[in-house]
Amino acid sequence: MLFSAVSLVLASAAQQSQPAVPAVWKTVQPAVVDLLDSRGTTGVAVLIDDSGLFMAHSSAFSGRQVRARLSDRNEVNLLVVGKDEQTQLVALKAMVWASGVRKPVRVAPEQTKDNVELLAVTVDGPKVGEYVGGSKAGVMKPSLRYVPLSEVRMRASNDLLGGSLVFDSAGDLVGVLGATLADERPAADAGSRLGGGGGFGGSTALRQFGESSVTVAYALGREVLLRVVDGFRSPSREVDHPTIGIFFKASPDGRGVLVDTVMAASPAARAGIQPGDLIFEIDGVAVNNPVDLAALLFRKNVGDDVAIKYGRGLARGTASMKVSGSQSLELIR
Amino acid sequence: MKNKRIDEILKSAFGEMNRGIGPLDEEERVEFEKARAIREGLAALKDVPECQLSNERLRDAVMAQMTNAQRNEFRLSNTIHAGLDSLKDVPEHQLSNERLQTAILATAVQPRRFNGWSLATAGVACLALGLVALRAMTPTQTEAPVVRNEPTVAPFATGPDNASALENGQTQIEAPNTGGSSSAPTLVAKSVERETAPMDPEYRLSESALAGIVKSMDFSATEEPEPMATMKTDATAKDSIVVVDPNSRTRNGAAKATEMASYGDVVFGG
Repeated sequence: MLFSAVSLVLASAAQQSQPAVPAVWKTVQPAVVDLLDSRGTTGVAVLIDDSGLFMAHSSAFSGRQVRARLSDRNEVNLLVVGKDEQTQLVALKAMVWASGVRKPVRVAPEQTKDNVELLAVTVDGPKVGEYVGGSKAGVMKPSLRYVPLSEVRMRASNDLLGGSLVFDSAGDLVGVLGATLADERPAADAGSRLGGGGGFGGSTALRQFGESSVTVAYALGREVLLRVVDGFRSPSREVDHPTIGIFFKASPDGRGVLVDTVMAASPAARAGIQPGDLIFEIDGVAVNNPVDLAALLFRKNVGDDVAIKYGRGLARGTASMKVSGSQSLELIR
Repeated sequence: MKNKRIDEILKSAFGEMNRGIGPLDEEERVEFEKARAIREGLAALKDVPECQLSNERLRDAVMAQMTNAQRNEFRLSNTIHAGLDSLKDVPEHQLSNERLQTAILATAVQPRRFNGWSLATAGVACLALGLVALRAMTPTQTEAPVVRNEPTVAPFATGPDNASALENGQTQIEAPNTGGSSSAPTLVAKSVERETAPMDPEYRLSESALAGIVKSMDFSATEEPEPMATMKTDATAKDSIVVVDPNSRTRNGAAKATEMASYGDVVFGG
């Protein structure tokens, strides 16, 4: 009897230590499917269109076709119909689909507030996460493309997180987890560990986690998700990211942004921009670091007009061009 | 040699031909002698009781006919098989790829010999790395491969004049004539493999290969450095960026993200 009482207490304590899954999971669950292979669940995908169009991260499965299990345990076959190389997101179409049965999710129309609880749907089911911030500047290899990332913190575990879907309390999609901080540092290296909040505690060292209690993950933010979802929904299933065809970095003296490479036949090349030019202003907005310039270019749309003021040695000039799409200009350096 | 002729030779060597097979040429004679040797070897086993005619004795008899190289290969194969057999008792869930690899390599790979030449090679490698580090620390005028030197006279025009060279779809972008300064490299739009090969701890450089590598190093920094953190004393959290590498995975199965204290030398595309 004593043993039973102790067992009950322990079980109750264990249950209390696990955060409860947000109630919004019931709302989201019908639109989420498990991607399967012969060994079990490999990832998750989310319904983005009533025609049976799903979206998943490329790390969630392999091949051009995958089985998916719905919330009612039925299974459907999904076929890859589109892929965005820069975000590694993939569009999947159900071969057989009944419209009007399940409600597709929408991308959150507004920026999520910081430090709110989120629902993260992982390979192992729904988990609780904390939304830390949505304005992290990210660079995706190998394209070196700027992409705004959202930081999400979750309880550390060995669960597979790549491709997890992140929802807010309204059931809107706010991110797709694509990366986690490397955990190569030993646990004893506490000096470089981040205990909480932002900043580096005065240290400029790389922030890496060892055996800590939190996993820091980065999700593709809503802005890029909106662009990707719109592209997947289009007849071509292609995502066109805006680009003018340049690679750039911080200038040595901190003034302007140094042009490193100009892609042949790009809008910037046609407008006369050359490697070594210093960009000072874009559409009347001064830029002094590459993150600002990248963010401004990211928010342009294909076909927009852009005016860039730049310097070349002692001379100054202005180059006008139209923003092109990444599909027509392979932005690989 | 035709199969029929070979058949005749073998039958004759084993005494199964009732008639002669005629004169033998050089090749046929060699085959005949081989067959005779095998016959004699088998004859030597006739006196051995069958219960004693073990696989080992048969194996020895066959191996006696092999060349040294064939015998060595046979022994090596036996060793590997023995190693694999010793793993049969290990439960499957404990039989990892690493253990298999270790078991095979332990029996098949000779241990490295550490000798004076290895020391010399390591010393040369350290010297070369030290030279590279010194050169890297010395500021140069051409750190970025595509940044042109400051022109002495640089009137230029935007628009059609500069664009004319590109209208016909050329894939080269040349630096403009800057009054004699021709240090700017010609840029050809190409994709550059930015992933570095994983470091193989077992990789060893021969002395000549290392010397060749050092000699061929171009210290004008034609390769854009990887976007590792360059520590800026005035770095703030606002300057921090996250570099995501889809080809590298963390234990969570997600792409590896590295947070940089500042954008430093990170190159952005836009």
